[in-house]
Amino acid sequence: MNIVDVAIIGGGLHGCSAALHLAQLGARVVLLEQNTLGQHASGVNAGGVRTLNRHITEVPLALQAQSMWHKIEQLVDDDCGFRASSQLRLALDKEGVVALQQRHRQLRALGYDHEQWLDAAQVREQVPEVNPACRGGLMVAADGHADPVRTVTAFAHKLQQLKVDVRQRTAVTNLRQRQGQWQIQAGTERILAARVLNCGGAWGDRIANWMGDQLALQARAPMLMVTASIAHFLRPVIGIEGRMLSFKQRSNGTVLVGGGYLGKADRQVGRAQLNCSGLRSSARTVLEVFPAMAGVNIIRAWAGLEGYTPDQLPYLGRGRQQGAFHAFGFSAHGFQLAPFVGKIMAEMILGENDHRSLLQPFTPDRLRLGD
Amino acid sequence: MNSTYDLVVVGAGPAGMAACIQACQHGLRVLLLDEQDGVGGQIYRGLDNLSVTGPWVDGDTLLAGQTLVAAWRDCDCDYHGGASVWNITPAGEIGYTRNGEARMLQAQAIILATGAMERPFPIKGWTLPGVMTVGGAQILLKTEGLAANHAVFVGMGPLLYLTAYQYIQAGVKVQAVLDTTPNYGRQPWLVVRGLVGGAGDLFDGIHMLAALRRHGVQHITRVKAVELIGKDTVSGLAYHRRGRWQQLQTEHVFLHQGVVPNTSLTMAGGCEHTWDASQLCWRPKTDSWGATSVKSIYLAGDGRRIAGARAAPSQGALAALQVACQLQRISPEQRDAEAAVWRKDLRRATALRPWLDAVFQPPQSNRLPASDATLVCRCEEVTAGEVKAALAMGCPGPNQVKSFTRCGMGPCQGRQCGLTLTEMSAQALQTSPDAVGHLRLRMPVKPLTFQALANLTEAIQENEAGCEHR
Ligand SMILES: Cc1cc2nc3c(=O)[nH]c(=O)nc-3n(C[C@H](O)[C@H](O)[C@H](O)COP(=O)(O)OP(=O)(O)OC[C@H]3O[C@@H](n4cnc5c(N)ncnc54)[C@H](O)[C@@H]3O)c2cc1C
Repeated sequence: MNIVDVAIIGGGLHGCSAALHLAQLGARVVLLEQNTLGQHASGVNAGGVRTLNRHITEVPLALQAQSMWHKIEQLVDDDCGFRASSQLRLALDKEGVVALQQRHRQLRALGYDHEQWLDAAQVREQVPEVNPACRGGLMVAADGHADPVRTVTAFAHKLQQLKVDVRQRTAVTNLRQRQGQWQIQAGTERILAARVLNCGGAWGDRIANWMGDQLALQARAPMLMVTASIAHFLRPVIGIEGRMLSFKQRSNGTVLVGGGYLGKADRQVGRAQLNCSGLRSSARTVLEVFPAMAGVNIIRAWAGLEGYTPDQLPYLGRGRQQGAFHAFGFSAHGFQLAPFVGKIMAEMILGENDHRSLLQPFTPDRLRLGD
Repeated sequence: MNSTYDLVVVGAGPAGMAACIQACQHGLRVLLLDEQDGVGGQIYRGLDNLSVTGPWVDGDTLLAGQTLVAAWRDCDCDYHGGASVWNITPAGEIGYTRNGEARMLQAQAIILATGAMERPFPIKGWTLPGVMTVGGAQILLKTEGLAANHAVFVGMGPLLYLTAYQYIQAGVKVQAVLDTTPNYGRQPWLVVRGLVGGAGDLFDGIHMLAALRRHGVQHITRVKAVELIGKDTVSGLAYHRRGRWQQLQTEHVFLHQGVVPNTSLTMAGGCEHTWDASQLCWRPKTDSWGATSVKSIYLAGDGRRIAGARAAPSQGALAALQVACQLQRISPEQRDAEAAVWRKDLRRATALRPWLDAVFQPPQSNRLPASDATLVCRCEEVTAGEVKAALAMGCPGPNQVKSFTRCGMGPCQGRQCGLTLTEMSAQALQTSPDAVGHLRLRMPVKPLTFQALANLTEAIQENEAGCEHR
C-alpha cells in the first residue's frame, strides 16, 4: 500500500505544476495520469502566454503568472520556448474600437496599466502585413508564447529530478474518504492520501463527483491548424475583437491558427474529431486579417480536450469534504496560468497560505449544483 | 449537409474500378475520385488514353487493364479526376480539392482503394538530391517520358526489376541493379510466372533477367548494405558484398524495397490499425468484406494489405457487395451468392502471399538506420540519433518522439518516417510495434491552402456538381 501526503489526479500542466511546488515545499506527492502527461490539453494547445483581454476576475492571477513565465528557467531549468513577443488584440471595425477602448478604460479604473492602446498607425508599425482596414488595438508587450510540449517536458524533468512519483497510464477509477484518509483506486493499486487535488481537465467533473462535489463542466474540443514553414513576417501573437482568432508565427516559421472553433469532443475514448466547417470559418477569419495567407498550405489540424465551466472561470479551491481540492475547468486559457496556480494551490493545500483574496472568486462553491 | 451519393470510391485503380462496377450493378449512386487525371491507378496508369501506352507495357497487362477500364466505362458512376482527397470522417464526409477548389460531400459509405506507397529506405544518404524512389522513377517514365541515363537501381522486389526493365525498353541506359534481398536465391519470380502479386505478375522473371544481361546492366546480388555518397548531390554509392565494400559512380540512384498500405486516410478517418508482422507495416483492421472499425469506411486493394493487382478487383467487388447489402439493395443471401466467385478468385490470387511476404521482407539493416547521422524524417531533418536520444529519455512511443523531436511533423505528416519511427521505438523499448503504436495522422492529409479551405463548399448539388461522366 502506498501512503502519501497529497495525491494529484491528472497529469496536465496544472497537475505537474502543483506537484512541483508541493514537492519543493517538502510534501510527499504522487501524480496520477490516465494517459501520458499533457496529452489532452497541456501539450497540444496553442502555447499562448496571454494576460491581454483576460476576464477581469482572472487578471490578478494572470499577471502573477506572467512574471513567472519571464523567469520560468528558474523554476524548471528550461525556458520552455517562451518568447515575450507581445500580444495584440485588433479592431477591424468601429464596434471593435468601441469595445476595446471601453475595456481599456475599465482596466485603468481598476488600476491596471498592462494593456496599451495602439492606433492604426502604431498597429501597422508592429504588424505591417495586417489588413489596412485595421483601426487600432490593445497590446501587452510582456505577453508572448511558449512551446507546450517543451513546457510539459521541462516540468516532467523537474519532477523526475525532485523524485516525485509520477505514474502515467494509470487511471483513477474511484476514490472515497475514510476516517480522514482518501482511498484512491489507481490502476490496479490502492493509494492512501491525506489530501487529494483534482487536476482532471476535461474529466474534472467526474473526479469531483467521486470526491462528493457536483460541479458543472463541459468537455469541448478546440481546434488548431498549422502551416508549412514560411518566411518570418510576424512577431506578436494576434487576436481580433469580435472574431474567433488566435494567430501566431512560431520560431520555426510555421503559423499556428486557433481561436476556439470546436470539434467534437469524445472524452469516453479521449479523442476529438475535427469539424471542417469550423476550420473553414477559421480560414475565413485568417484571410480577413491577413489576405497574404491565401496561398499558404495548411499541413495539419488537430483538436485537444478541455473542460469548460459555465462562467468560463476555473474551479480553484476546497471541496466539501476534508482534504479535497480542485483545480480544473480552465476553459481554454489555462496554459498561461499553470506556473502560478500550481504554486498557490500547493500553499493552500499545505496550509501555508490560503490566498483568500486571490482565490475567493474561483471557489467551486460559486457554481455548486444542488445536493 | 445533403447527400447525393450512396457511395464514394477513392482511388481509380483495379480495386476502385471494380468496386464502382459492382456497386452500380446494384443500383447504387456512385462517385469515383482519383488524384490522377485518368483512371487506371498505379498499374494501369495512362491506359484510359491509349496513345500513351509505350513499349514498357506488356500484352497481358494491357489486355487485363483495358478490359477493366472498358467495363468501368460502361458502368453508371460519376467520376472526378484530378481530385485530391484530404479528409474522410466516420460520418461519411469526404473533403477533396480539385482545380484548386475544395469541396466536401457526404455519402452513406466510402470505399478507399488508395493503394500502396513505397516503404521508406532510410540508409545513409537517402535524402541526397539525385536519389529518388523507384516508384517516382517509374511515374516519370510513364507520364513525362523523362528518364535518367546510367542510373543505379538499389533494393528488392518486383517493382525494382520491372522499372529497370521498363527503362531499358524505353531505350534508357541503366548502369546496375543492386539486389538487397536477404535470401536472393529464393526469389519466386525467377521460377514462377504469372502467380506473383503486385507488379510481379506483369513480367517473366527469366525473360527480364536476360534483357538486363543483353543490355549490359550489371546485376549485383546478395548486397548486404548500401551507403549513398555525395556532398550536395549524389555522386556514387558504396555497397557491402561478400565481406568487402566496393563503389560505383552514378548521379542517379533509384531506391525500392517493396510497398506498404497507404494508411493516411484510414488513420485520419479514425480507423483502427494493427501491425502486420509478416509485411512489417501498419494495416487497417478489416473483416473479410473489407469493412474497417469505422462503420461507413471500407477498404479494397493494396491499401488493405499488400496483395497485388490480381487480388484488387475481387476485393473491390466484395466491398461493394457488402455496401450494397448494408444499404439494403441486396439481401445477405444474394450478397453471399455473388461473393462466392470473387472469394474464389481472391483465394487464387493470394495463394502465394505467405511465401512472398517471407521472401520479400526487407532486412532490418535497411529498415532501421545503421548510423545515427542518417535522417529519419526528411521534412523536419530529424536524425536517427535524435530519435534514439528521445527514446532513451523516456518517450513511450512515436507520438511522443514526434512531439519532442518534430519527427513526422512536416508536410508529409510522417508518411515517410512513420514506419521507421514505429520500428525504432519498438526496438528501443524492447516491445512490439502494436504496443508503441503509430503516428497520429490528421486532416488535411494533402496540403490545403487557406483560400481553398475558406471557400470549401459543402454537399455538391446533383445538377451543379459538374461531374463529367466520361
Ligand atoms: C487547442 C487548445 C488550445 C489552447 N490554447 C491555449 C493558449 O493559447 N493559452 C492558454 O493559456 N491556454 C490554452 N489552452 C488551454 C490549456 O491548454 C488548458 O487550459 C490547460 O492545459 C489545462 O491544463 P490541465 O492540467 O487543467 O488539463 P489537462 O492538460 O487536460 O490535464 C488533465 C489530465 O487529467 C487526466 N485525467 C483525467 N481523468 C483522470 C483519471 N480519472 N485518472 C487519471 N488521470 C485523469 C487527463 O488524462 C489529462 O491528461 C488551449 C487548449 C486547447 C485544447
